[in-house]
Amino acid sequence: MSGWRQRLAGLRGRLPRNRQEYTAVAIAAAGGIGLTLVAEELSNWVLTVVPAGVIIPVGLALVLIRSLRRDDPIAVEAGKAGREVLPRPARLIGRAMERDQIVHDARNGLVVVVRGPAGTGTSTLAIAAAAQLAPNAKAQYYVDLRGQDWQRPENALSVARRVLRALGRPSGDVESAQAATEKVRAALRGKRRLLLLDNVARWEQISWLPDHVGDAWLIAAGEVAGCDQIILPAGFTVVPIRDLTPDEGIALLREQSTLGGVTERMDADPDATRALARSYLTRPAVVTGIGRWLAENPGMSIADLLAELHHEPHDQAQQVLGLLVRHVSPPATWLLARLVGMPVAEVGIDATTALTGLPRREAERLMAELRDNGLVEQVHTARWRVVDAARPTVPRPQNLDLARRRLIEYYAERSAANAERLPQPEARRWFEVEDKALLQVLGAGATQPWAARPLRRIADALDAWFALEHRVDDRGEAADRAARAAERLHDDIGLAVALVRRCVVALMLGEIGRAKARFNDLTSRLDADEAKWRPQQHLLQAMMKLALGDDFDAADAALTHYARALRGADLTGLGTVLIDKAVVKLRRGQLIAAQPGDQRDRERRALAAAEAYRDARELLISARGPAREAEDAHAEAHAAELLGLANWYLHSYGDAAENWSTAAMLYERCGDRTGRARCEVHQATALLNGGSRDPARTAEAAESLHAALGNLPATGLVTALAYLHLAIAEPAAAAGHRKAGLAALAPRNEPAEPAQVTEIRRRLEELPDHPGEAAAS
Amino acid sequence: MSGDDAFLFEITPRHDTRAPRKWPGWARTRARAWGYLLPAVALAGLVLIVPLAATVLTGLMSGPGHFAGILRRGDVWLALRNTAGWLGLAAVVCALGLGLALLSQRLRPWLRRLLLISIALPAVASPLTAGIAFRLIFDVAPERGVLNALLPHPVLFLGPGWIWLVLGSAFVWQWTGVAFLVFQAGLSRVPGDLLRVARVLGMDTPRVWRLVKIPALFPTAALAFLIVLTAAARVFGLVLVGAPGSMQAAVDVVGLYWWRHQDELGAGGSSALATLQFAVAAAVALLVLWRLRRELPDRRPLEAVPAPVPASASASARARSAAAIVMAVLWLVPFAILVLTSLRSPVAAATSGFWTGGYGTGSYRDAFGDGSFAAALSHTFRQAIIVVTIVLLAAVPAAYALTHSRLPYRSGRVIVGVATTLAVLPPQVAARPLGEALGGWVGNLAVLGAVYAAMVLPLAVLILRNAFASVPHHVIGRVAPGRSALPRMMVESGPAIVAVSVLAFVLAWNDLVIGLLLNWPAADQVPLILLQQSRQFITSAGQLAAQGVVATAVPAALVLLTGPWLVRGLTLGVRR
Repeated sequence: MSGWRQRLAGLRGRLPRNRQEYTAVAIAAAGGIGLTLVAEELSNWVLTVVPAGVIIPVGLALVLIRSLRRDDPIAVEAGKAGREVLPRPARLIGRAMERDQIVHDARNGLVVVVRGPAGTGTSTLAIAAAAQLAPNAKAQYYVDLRGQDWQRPENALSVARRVLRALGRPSGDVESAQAATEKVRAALRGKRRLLLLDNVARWEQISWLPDHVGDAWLIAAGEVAGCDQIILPAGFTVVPIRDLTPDEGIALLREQSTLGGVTERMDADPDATRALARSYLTRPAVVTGIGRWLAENPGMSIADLLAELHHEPHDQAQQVLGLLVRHVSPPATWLLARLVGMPVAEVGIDATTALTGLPRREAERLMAELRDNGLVEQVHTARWRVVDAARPTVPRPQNLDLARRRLIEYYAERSAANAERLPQPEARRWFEVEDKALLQVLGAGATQPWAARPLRRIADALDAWFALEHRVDDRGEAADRAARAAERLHDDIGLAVALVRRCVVALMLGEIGRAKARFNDLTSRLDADEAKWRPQQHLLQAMMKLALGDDFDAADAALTHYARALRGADLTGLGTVLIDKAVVKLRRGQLIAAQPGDQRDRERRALAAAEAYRDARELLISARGPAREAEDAHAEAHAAELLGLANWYLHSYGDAAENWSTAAMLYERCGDRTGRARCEVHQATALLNGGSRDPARTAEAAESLHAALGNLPATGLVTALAYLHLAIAEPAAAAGHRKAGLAALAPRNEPAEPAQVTEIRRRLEELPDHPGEAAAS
Repeated sequence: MSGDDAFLFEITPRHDTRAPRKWPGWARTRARAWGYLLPAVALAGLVLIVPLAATVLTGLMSGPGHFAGILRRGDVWLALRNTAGWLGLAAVVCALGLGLALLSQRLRPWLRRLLLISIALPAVASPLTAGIAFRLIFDVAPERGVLNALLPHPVLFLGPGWIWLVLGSAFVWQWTGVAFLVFQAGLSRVPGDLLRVARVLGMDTPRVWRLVKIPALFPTAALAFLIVLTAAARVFGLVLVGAPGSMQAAVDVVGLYWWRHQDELGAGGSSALATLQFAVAAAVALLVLWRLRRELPDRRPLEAVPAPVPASASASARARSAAAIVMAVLWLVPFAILVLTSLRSPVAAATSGFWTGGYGTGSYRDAFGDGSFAAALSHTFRQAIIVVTIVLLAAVPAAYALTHSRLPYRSGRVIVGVATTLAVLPPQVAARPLGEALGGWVGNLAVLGAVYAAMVLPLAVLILRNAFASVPHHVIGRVAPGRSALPRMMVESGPAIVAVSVLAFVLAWNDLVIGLLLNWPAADQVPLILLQQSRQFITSAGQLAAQGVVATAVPAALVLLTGPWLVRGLTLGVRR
């Protein structure tokens, strides 16, 4: 996309959007012209009225708009969000037996699945049972599983992470839903807590939940598709929800419609009421809608209602909601149409204000009207969601471009502002609530050229957030979506960055073959001329050289290019250069030290390696300066970790141990459990190789390695190394460790590899592969 | 830990997936980098490169004929042999410097300081002063010459054969201090880590030397060698004053030969000879440059690594102290004789040695008698200040451009190579075209100052570049984007800037060659006055000594005042 278009788009974003801002423009124009006249009187020979009359009011208007927007509370919605609370339980009509069943089963340690089609009242029933099980709000944990994509339910991993977050546990390092099972069990056990997962769409979303968690109760409610096609595990039980009987339907309608003369009209025409109950009052959601419609239309009888409903071709709920849509005010319909047309299913009031251009109070009023008519519902405390069944009944406006654009720009602005504030708690909370919305916006398929810049900002913010959370797969997903968006929009910069990120994700997952393919893809699709590369491309090239072999000169040259392409005051980049140059030196030293030769050669090589380690150490000491100044604790931790290695190689064992302790502490502070686990592996390696093999040291090392493996990715060199060391520490279990270690190296899937990987694979292969062998040896 | 075990740790690299920030005005920044280089390039281009090209072209004008003609002359071969001898002596000076640096490692602090001052001070004396002092020591007449007075039979020190001892020892006396300083800094940087690894591997002392210390000293040795080689290749004043007229032909060196015979050789011949002289010096310099390549910042304090070895009271320690005192005294003898001679009456100084009395201030009165020496002092001082100013104005931005600006990498390397080559450029190479181009302007302080500055500029740029490259990156990172980091760099590299200033001052103050080649016979500079006086060496020994003492006192005071900064400034960042 050409630069002037982007600039024009940026300029357009500064123009007034809503009534409040237009008022500001009017004040500015009037005041500005007044000031101009005074200025003209004062300095007639300097200013002429025409340009000053334009410049001053425009300037004032822009300043006023800017100050108005600055007052917007950036994290207000997220701040209110935090932990979800269990909705207030409603009085049950005719579902007491099911409720008692749920309570009974839950108390027996089973995960109770309250299952029924949308609108049958699964949520109400589950909430009532939950309130009975754990009346204290502090013991209730409620998670609404509906996501930002109303057509596609969230996957199990995402659900697991949401559950862990709701329980106040770190979720970033969880790599699979199954890995979360024990964490959830640990969080709930023995504490008399209740966990309710509401609006479960598929069985897979909850299949990983732990059962028989002592003194805790787990309930899942929703359609739970797929549940009937499998044999449920023993720890789960299903409580199906039946339709309401006509009597129950009528009782519920009376219960919910005490105002507006509804009961009088029901009593006035019992036959029509009975007919309505048989055909329509079978699901609580429909009963509620009909009650609302009758209350809003006091002149209409039950028979009139039946006549209206028979015109509708849709299902019951849609018929009722269609009626309601037709009866809300035109501005509310207008808002509803825009909400339905947006790429996200849930929005806060700020986002609504942004996408509609309405003043906040007006947006709140219209949203309240839609809520009163049952067309939107409040979720996650501060967000609104169009009722899924109402979506098909809403008329689609011709052109939603403006609203989409405003929404995307809103998210771009907010995400960039919050990304800059990371890791502050408010910014974290904002991303915890909005990251799915951002992903949804990123993948929404915007095709207009103006979208390139805001989408790039969203992608950058998401990458920063997922990196902080160490959610590698989410980073990959964000990068994939950003790449597709950039390609669609012909945005070269965005594409380059997204492709770099995709490649880095593959490297981080140890999938070297895929990383190589992605790197080749990157180079073939973008500039072939290295002189035009962006800094990150050079760095990636260095990373590829290190991942695919031992071409240290080429890696070092690429790092030099990276350093030269950085901005002058880019401390983070500078820290990265110094750390990676040190990595090259350390790897070079490793390789020199490991080459075969006689005693004299060995001495010579040991010294050459030591020189490389020493250079690395100096670089790492230098790297701590920029890392501290940039307040980048993770870079500081990384430098300390590598400093420990350099010191170990240089026989400064005490310093090495201290460095690793510091690094582990810093990693812990930034929430990087993988980094911390790496340090534990280093410490265990030092214990196993640092001198005499006394059993206490060996046991301590084995314990550290087991702890580290809990936090290491399933694949990668460090995981393989951890298993190799474990095999040494626990010879009896060597066969199992051998298998796991080799599996950790398997995804490399690439013939070219560093000598270290080959050597570690060889050593793993040399381990006994049957338990008996180990015992014999 | 065995070598194989190095593989037992994973070394995790660091990724950067941030969006690339726009660099505002990249092209402008690059243009600015060339802008920083412009003053230095213009100065070196006009004063060094263009005249060098003119000389080379003149020499080649009629094919290789001029070169062949030059090489057919026996006296040229003698001068070349002598020059090669001086270059060989540079190695001796370096070895001696290293020996003294090793000796000083285990000395008590006060003794180390004494040794440092006494050995380093001659480096700031002009070669003429060195020549005067050594002629006084080696005078053939037993009643005047200190050494002959001590011997039972007089030795013809200033005659054939012995003259080399006089000149050689004067050179060694003058330049050993520089090598000593550089090696001392180098030894303090022998990596403690490698020594520890060597200990762990159980290496004996010779192997530790061979595998650790000598490789670690290579870059330092290269720097010391470069400085002393340049001095050896440019030997001029020392021979001119140190050898009596009758011996001049026998001890000729290429530079001096060129000066004496340029008219006789003609434009082509003299240009060919100058080109030859330059080619030898440049080849040596480029060889040294190879050892001086560096990329990494090195900012370890000199005192920190390794810790100084504590002085012990053993017999060997006493022997070392005694040796150090002997060396310090030996190095102070020429100064002492110069001072004592200057404090004698002119007649007494001309007829007898300092041990016979006749003290007074007559020589100083004579030295300042006609006012020309005082005027020359003032003139030279102003000249030196102008040179320092021009050097800093051109060298500081150039060094900045070569380190932290956005200059293309290859351009930077080429410029460093050219600077190293130009650092050893003998002034004779550029003298003839420059003299022709400047004509009468050469009397102007600023014009002559620019010529001096251009001669010092390459070395100044190299020293400052090393210092700037050693400024930690995060210090530069504090500078706001788009703003120049030069002021911050200058603050961080203060010692190097002081060192370059002192170097430029001392070289301008002591220079004889450029003044002689371009400004002769206008005797308005101190070295030219000394040269004139030295024509009547014996009769004006007292006056010469007095002038020599005064001429040395100024740079010596400067060096003593800035001493601690100088060593750091000169050796900062010298690392392979």
